[in-house]
Amino acid sequence: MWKYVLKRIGLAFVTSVIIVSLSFFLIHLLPYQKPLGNYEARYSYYQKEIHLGYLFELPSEDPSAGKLVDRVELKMLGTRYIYQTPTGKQYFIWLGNIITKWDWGVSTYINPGNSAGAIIMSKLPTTIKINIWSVIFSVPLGILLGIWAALKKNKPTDHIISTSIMIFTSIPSFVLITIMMLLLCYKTGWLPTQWPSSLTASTVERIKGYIVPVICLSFGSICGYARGVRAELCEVMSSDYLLLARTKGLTKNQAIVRHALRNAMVPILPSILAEVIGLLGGSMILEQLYGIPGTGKLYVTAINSQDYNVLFVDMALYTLIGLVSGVFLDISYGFIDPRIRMGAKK
Amino acid sequence: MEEIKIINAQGVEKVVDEKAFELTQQNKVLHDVKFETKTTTYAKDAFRRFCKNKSSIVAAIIIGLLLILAFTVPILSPHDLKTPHIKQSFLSPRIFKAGGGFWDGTKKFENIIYDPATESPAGFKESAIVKVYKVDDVYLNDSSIYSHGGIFIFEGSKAKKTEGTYTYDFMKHKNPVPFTKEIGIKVTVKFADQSEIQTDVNKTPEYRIVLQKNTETDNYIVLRDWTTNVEDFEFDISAYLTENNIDLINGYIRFDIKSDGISPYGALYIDSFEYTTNLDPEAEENEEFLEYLDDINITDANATKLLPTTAAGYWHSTGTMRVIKTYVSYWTFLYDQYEDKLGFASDYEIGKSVMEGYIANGWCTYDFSVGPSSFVKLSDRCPIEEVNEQKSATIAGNEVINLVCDVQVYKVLGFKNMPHFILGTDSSGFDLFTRAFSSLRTSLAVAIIISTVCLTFGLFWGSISGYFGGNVDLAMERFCEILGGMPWIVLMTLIIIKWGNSIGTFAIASCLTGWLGTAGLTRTQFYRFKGREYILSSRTLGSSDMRLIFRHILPNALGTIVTGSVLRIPLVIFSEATLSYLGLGLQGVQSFGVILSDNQQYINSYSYLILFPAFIISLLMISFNLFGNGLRDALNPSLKGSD
Repeated sequence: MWKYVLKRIGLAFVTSVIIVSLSFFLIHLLPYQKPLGNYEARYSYYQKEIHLGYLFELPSEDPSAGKLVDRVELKMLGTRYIYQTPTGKQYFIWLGNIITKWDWGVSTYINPGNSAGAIIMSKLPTTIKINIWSVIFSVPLGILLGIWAALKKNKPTDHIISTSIMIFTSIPSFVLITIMMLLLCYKTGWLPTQWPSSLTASTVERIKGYIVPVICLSFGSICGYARGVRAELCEVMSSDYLLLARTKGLTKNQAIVRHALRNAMVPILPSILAEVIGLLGGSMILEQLYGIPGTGKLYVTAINSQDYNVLFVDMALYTLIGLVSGVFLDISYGFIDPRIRMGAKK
Repeated sequence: MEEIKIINAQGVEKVVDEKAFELTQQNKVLHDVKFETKTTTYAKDAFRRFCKNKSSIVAAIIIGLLLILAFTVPILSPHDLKTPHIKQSFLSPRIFKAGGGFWDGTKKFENIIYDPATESPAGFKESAIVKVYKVDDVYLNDSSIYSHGGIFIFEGSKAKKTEGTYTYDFMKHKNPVPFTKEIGIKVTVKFADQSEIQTDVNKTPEYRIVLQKNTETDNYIVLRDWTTNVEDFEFDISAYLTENNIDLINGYIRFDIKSDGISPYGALYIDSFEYTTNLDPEAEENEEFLEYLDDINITDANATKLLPTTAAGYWHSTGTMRVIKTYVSYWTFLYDQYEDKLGFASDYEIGKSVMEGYIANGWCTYDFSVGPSSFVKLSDRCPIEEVNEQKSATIAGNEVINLVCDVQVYKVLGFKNMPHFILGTDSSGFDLFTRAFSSLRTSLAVAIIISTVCLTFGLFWGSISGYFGGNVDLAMERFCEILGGMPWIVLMTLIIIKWGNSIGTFAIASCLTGWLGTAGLTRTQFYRFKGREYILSSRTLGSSDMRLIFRHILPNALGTIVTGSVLRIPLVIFSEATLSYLGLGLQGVQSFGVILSDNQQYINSYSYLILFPAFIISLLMISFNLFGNGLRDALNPSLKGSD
């Protein structure tokens, strides 16, 4: 078992290194994005990059030196030509920086001169808070709905629940967000139309600001859990051992709680764990539409403003989250259900 | 002869003669008998099972309808999506005739202040108001430009607080009224009951009404002598002139009010003061005189008070006067936006070349050297009702002629009749209905192309990987794992940054990872079937790899794979819309994401711009999911024959 866990983690690590490295090369093949500002401001940014080894400067133009990035005219030093180090060399410098200093580069546009890692870190708490609330609401609700539907299988209750699940999983998230915003924020005026700023808004206003994002994030998860629980529970309910339990004299409730539910939860619990991790990435659309300053919105801003360093860290975060949740899902099966031996041979 | 002993059900032993038995088929030749039942194929069976699933049928019909609309609407629609028409922007959805309040191109406006100058709520056209729900009056004790009505007060000495007689008279620009016998002029004064108007009752002062002659102070006729009685007053001036055989008096009516200078001060509450004549109001020669009388008349106290008083004033007095109880109206009404934006408009400027076009069409005639009077409307198609003014200006050495006209705007825009936009129009004046379905067409076309490419490549990849197994499979699987491990949005972003966001880029980016799912499915199916006995027997008979793959294994796996590909279509549409919504999407094309993200800013003011496309895309998604589910059940070979 432990061997399998280690193997999975090792594989995920290798995959993430490959993906991040690939992205590095792809991004660095794009034209270099100059930072904002005048010659002095740009030069001070270049100085940092030169210090890190990504760029180098020459006092005169030299076509054989490589790709010219920028030409800065300084009062003190005169004209300086900034060149890019070859991409392969940059890669090793970059890898070295991450391993030795945990340095992921500097923002060029969003917050010029600041560390990209620090920018992501400042956005992460908002995203995490919203997602935790959404999990708190969606898990119990989803499971309860699923159980309810399974117990009333093929009755009107089940039909209503199943149909709504089908409809809500089909409706695109941006449509749901838009309609929620329209109904709860614009038409009735109950809730703020945009995410309230943490600096100016009152506590009540800030709590109200959570409602729309949490509802929108929960809807999808509720439907997912309810569908999963219903399917699993229905299968367990028709199994022989449940019939045996009833024959032994257990009441229906006892049989369901002691036998059916426990077994039905086996595939559900790992997926909850995986989703909790997966949710940390945040919903880009939700954050974009509701103006939530989280990692998702940062990602979109980074793409649109072509702030590659920030984009890169955000990408790495998403990749990592995806892989970690996958590993978690696989491993947790083994822990939760002793019958499953992950990675076992025939 | 042999006897056979048999024991029957009751356990009684019986002896039966052998001859009682007969061999039924002893000398017959038995052939295979053809089945009485009809033969069925896989497709027929699948179709039969699909038809049993009601919701899938409905979904299939909806998809079919949407498909037909997507391919016909953009072709048949008269509204183009290329040139923006600002004139027709933000029109509400309209199917029915205006007035019902439902889907009729009207919008309800609440509590809009009424502007007496235009005789309609401020900023709205009177002609476009379909229905007035409610008029709320708020009273003001002063005159203001938005109020109307009210009561004129001659207040005696309130301001000066001194004893004396104060006069109130009315002459426009110090011109007295020429009273003659012929015009049949009468003066009517109606007083208001002050106790109904104000709680702090002013006493009624002693007053009189006189007809002042020829503006000489002492030359007057007393019409009502000093009194405090405020009953309505009427006097026929023409009759008086006839009686006394006077031809002409240049004069005016004057009020004299006595004040004792002690609070409460006396005040006269004038509800209306009106000259009436028997002159024909339609006749042109009377226009000026009647207009003059209109200005003097206090029919709308607020309006009279607001008349410019600088040119020696209209009503002037030696005491004080003011206006109270004017009311400001707030209207709640249903407004026809089509009539407002595309209906009749005055002072609409039309360029010379446009006018020449109309003349060339034979819709009207106009002579630029003569001017507005030469305009003659010839056809109903002509947008211009009347030319008011011909303007010319010289810009950069060229003479530019513009005509200020009364027009029907929709005819200027090239419509024969008032247009109806079923789903309304957006900020650029594009018809949302056409735009939505042309987006659907783009989205569907892209989705189908991507789906086909992914299906083909995925099948190819999965077949090789699954069929050959071993090291080939291992290598191919690792490749898929790395590609699949990269978040979708990351890959899409990199490609978009590299090649820009066009529809081709999106298709390439989608295909790059889209085939992974199909490949995985195919691979699993191959693993499932390649070890079966029928494959082994076929191989023993000498079948080639290709034959085994395409004739024996693939048809078994087809159901799952086809279903997977159908369910891909809504996924592609969804991802395209998501991308566009994030601002990374396609540019220069019509697509759902583009519509939705364009209109996001109007979420509150013009909700229909978001709601209709959102509804269509949701409907499409739901239908595709239902259809896909039905297809999966129908094509599942293990369910063949079962119900």
